[in-house]
Amino acid sequence: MVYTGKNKYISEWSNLIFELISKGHSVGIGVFDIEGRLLDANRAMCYFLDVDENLKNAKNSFVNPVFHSFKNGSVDGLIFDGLMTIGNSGDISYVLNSKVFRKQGQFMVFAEADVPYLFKQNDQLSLLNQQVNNLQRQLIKEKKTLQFTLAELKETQHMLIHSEKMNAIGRLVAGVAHEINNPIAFVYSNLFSIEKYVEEVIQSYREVEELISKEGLPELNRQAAGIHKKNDLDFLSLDLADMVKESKIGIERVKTIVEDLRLFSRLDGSAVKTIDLIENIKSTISILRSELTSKNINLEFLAPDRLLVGCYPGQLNQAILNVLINAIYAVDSGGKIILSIELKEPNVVLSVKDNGCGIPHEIRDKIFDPFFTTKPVGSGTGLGLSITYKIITDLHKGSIEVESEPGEGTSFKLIIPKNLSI
Amino acid sequence: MMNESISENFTNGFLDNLLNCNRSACSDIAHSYLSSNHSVIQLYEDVFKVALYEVGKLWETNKISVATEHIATAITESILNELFEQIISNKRCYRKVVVACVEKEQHQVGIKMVADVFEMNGWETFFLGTGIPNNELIRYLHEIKPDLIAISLSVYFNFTNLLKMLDILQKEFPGLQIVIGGQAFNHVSADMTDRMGNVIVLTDLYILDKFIQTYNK
Ligand code: B12
Repeated sequence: MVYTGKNKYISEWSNLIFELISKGHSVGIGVFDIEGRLLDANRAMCYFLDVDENLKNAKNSFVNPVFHSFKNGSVDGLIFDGLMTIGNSGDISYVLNSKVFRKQGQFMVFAEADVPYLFKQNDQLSLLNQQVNNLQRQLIKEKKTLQFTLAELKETQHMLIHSEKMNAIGRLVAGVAHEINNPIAFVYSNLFSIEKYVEEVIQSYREVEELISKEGLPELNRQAAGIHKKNDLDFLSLDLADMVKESKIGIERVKTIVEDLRLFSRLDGSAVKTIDLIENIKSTISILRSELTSKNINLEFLAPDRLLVGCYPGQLNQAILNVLINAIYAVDSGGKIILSIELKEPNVVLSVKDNGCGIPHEIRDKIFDPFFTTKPVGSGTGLGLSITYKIITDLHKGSIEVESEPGEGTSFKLIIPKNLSI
Repeated sequence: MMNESISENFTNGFLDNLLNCNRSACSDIAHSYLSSNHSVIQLYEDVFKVALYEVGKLWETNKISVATEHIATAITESILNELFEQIISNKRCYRKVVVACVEKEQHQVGIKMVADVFEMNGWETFFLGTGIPNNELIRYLHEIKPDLIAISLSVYFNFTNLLKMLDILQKEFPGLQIVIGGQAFNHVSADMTDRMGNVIVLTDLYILDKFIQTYNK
């Protein structure tokens, strides 16, 4: 808005206005002699030039235009009209709308701050500052999001490396298992025959000895007894039977290991079926009944009555069975295990929680590694959890979450899609 | 009582330094307040808010200019940013909230604090601040599909703008939960806010925090 009135009414206040301006802050007025000495100034000009109370020792001066340039002409009247910079070489300067007049060897400098412009600028700067502020906030937010994503990626990478490792081991194991499966099968069946034959041979020998002692000559009888004693046949027959029995137990264990290995490496045998998961899991629990009662463990089963799930039923049973076996192993007699099944669309969560000994922090990373076991040598194959891992992550495209506090217990969550699509 | 007077000391120091444009002193005060066992919400409610309300009084009683008001908020907002990173909770709950002001509203400090409280509770926040026209907001909401929208109103004269905004929101997103707050509601009678359908009015950050926690369950 530009006001072009005649100031008819204002002029009646001119004395007062003059007084106010001389004390004002925004319009600077100063009168200088031809040498540039300040003769008189209002408060604003004192501020702009930064002079002391005697109008001396100005810290600022006319930077652009310089005072010297005013002396060029000799005509009285308006000699400068435009933006004037007052300041010094060190600080930030004032730029003011100015007019310079000349009259009888003196100069009157009129320098005013452009207030509407300054206000507008102030508003714009605040707005700009607000925007910068919000932008910074957004950047912080995005940085945080990136950090989260990075952590998730690391986790995924960890899992990928693990499952890659498992695949490689799986292939190796498949080869070995295949190679030793046949020889073990015939050693196994031969052992049964050997057991039978050994019994028969011993029995026949006894019969022969009896026959000799009953009906043979004393000399023959004596010789037979000599052979019996010399070769310690009593001990031999006992030990032979023991040895065969032990070999059978040994080969039985080797067979279980090979079967586990084959299971571990060939989990893709069957097909996806839609089954009632609850019924399926109940059958798994019944396998463990005797172990649960002998250790006096309280197993709580929390599940809906029925839950149809598309999965590999046999393998899923195997996966949960392995986790349950570990839980039984972890709790003391009288301990507690909670097995729960929950539908969390689009997933199903099978969770096994025990109040057993927990998993020590230092082995947390290894529990899914094949052949890693904490059980005494000979009582576990160390394949249980790695089989579970493969069944859940590879076969069912799911995930496993483990939380464990040493001394307090462990919780395994097997999370699989409700309907596995292949 | 003890606690109140401690907060008062911090608030007075904070206010003095706001008026003197001393950002770093303000920041120091905020940090030492937090390290003397106060929560972020206490810092916002009992130091920042009280000091800024005092700034408002000084303006209202003609003692300071709008420029000083500008600087006071600029300093406070810069400290909010300073604290923002440590506020973001690591436990994410995968819920989304859009946080905005009523159209034509220029006060954004309060709503920024509101966004922070959501962020502390693991929400994904989308802070729009001031100066977002309604049609932009609608477009944005379609894109983000938040669980909730939080709106702030400071200047009472903008109340009709709020009603207009609520109208549009309820037509465009009938099920969307709306939470509103801000100091304009100090002047609004309860039945006025009763008429507003699926809209909840919350008065401060303590109450907001409780609301979010029950919502999270
Ligand atoms: C700084 C300030 C400004 C700045 C804002 C800059 C910015 N970046 O935000 C600027 C200079 C732009 C400004 C402008 C104006 N302002 Co002003 N401003 C203030 C001041 C001093 C501080 C505002 C503030 O940040 N307060 C601190 C925050 C934390 O408090 P809060 O907003 O109330 O928020 C709290 C709660 O209300 C709640 N809350 C807020 N929103 C929400 C939302 C939800 C969902 C929930 C749950 C809770 C919640 O959470 C917060 C923490 O408890 C206030 C004084 C005051 N009393 O607040 C005046 C004040 C708000 N302004 C006022 C006025 C009149 C104006 C102007 C019209 C005139 C002017 N002063 O220039 C313009 C209008 C601009 C516009 N159209 O909006 C009046 C408003 C009167 C009224 N209620 O109607 C006040 C109260 C000053 C006064 N005493 O008169 N202002």
